[in-house]
Order: sequence, then structure tokens, then C-alpha cells
Amino acid sequence: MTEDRALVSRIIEGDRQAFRLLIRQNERLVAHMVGRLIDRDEDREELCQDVFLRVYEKIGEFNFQSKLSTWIATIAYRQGINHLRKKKIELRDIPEEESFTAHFISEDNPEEALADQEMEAITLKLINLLPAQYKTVLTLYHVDGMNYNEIGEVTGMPEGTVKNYLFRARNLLKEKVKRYLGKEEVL
Amino acid sequence: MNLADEELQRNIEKGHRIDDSLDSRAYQKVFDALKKEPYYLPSHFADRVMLRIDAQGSLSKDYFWFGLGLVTLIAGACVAALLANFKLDFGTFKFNSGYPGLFLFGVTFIALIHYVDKRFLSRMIHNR
Repeated sequence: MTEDRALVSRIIEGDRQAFRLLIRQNERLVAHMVGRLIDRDEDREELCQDVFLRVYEKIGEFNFQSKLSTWIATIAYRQGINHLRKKKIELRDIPEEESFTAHFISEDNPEEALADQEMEAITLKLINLLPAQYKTVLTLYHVDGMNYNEIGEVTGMPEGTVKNYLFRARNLLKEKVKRYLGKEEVL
Repeated sequence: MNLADEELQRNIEKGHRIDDSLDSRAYQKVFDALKKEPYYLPSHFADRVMLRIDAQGSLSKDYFWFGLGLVTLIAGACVAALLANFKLDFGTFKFNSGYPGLFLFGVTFIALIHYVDKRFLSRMIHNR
């Protein structure tokens, strides 16, 4: 936190190297969030740049109530969601568990769609098929190592919802992966 | 929540040994894939952001000078009009007043062309 304070003060005073350092420290976090939410490669880098431009504009408003990285992740999450809305990409609420689970698991035939690909690539594709909220909590937890409370701060979800989404998302993925593994065994 | 699944997820997360069931193996695959970074930024990403910040700064300076120029131009025009005792007269364009329909058609036609271009043609060209 003290380091955050020092860095922010230097940026506010106009130290460009300090802002460059902030980018270096947080670019992977932003890339993970944006990369998970946005499919098109052409949009990803531009959106990451937009996130840091926003950070630069708003840095004076940062009140140190959270870690600097959490605040930056919040901006990245909002920018990502806004981008999806702007591009009219479906941003559905998490549907009723049973109907969504049935739909997600039964969608497409493993043999036809992804037969030649490696299991890991298949799983990564499956992650991309999840709703944005699931993808966000999974990424923040597994890739960026945030805890439930921090994820709640970033996404505005209660801690219980974060835990629930994590469990359900992993469960959904497991059910789908099981179908592919089952096919492998039969073959 | 399904307790067996919850237990399995917890065990895998903690790195405990798991059985060889289909569920366990599927979870292991999922957890392994979830650790992968979804996207990498290029090494010069920070430089690009700094360039955009610089460009934004110079853009706001440009807007300042543009605004100042515009105000000066209008002020100069007003002073010149006062000094020269200028009177507003549409001259040749007065002929338009006899053909309001033609004027209206012209404006609508140009607006329609712009609309078709923006709405359909640009999209078709970009999607090619």
C-alpha cells in the first residue's frame, strides 16, 4: 500500500516513468481480464490501452480504499463489459442453473466439433463459451490469484456470489470435459 | 452445491492426491487449463500507451488553438462588418425562395446518400 501511495503521488506530479512502471506492473492483470472477455485480437490491445488511458485520467481520484491493482482491475472489468455492450455482444445474466447447465453441457457434439484438438485447447474453448461473469471470476481467481473479497471489489458481486460462480463454472466445465474424456475412453 | 464436487474441487485446488475417476480427471484438466494466461500483450505495450497519452495532450492543445482562432475570426468578422457597414444579402441565392420544394429535395437527397453510405455501404466494404 505504501508503494502504491508513492507511485500514485509520483504520477500525479507528472512523472512519466512512474506511470510507465504502473503499466508494467499491471499490464498482465489487464491483459488477462480483457483477453478472457474479448474474443477479437484486434480489439484486445486497443481495449487494454483504453484501460490505462482511463487509469491515467482518473488516478487523482484513487482513494487508497483498495489495492491499486484491484482498482485497475475494476476499471478493466467495466471497460470490458462496456465494450461487449457497445459491440452488442450478448451479455446475458447467469440463467437459471438447471436450464443453463443442461444447455451448456448438451451444446454441440464432441466428435463433430472438436475431435482433432488437444484436450487443453478444448477446455480453453469451453471457458470462452461461458458467460462473461463466470469468465471474469475464474480468471481473477485462477490466473491472477485474487481472493473472493478482492474479486467482489472488482466485479461488485457479494463474496457468496463469487464463491458460487466459481464453483458452478468449474462444475459446468468439468461436466463438459467429462463428455470428451468419456469419448476418448470409448475410442 | 453438490458436496462431492465441492470436495473434489477443494482437493484439487490444495494439490491433494485425487482418485482416477472420470470426474477427478475432468476437474484436473479444467484446473490445469484455468491456470493458462488467456492473452499476452506485446513487449512495447507501455510505449504505445505513452504515445497515446502524448497524442491526447497535443490534441487538447490543438483544440485550444482551434477555438482561439475561431473566436478571433468571428470577432474580426464582426469588427469588419461594423466598419464596412455590411448588410446581409443572399444575392443570387434569393432565387431559391421561389423553389422551396427543390431546396428541400436537395437537402433530403444529400442526407439520404450519407445515410445509405454510413448504414450499408461502409459496413459492406469493411466486412469484405
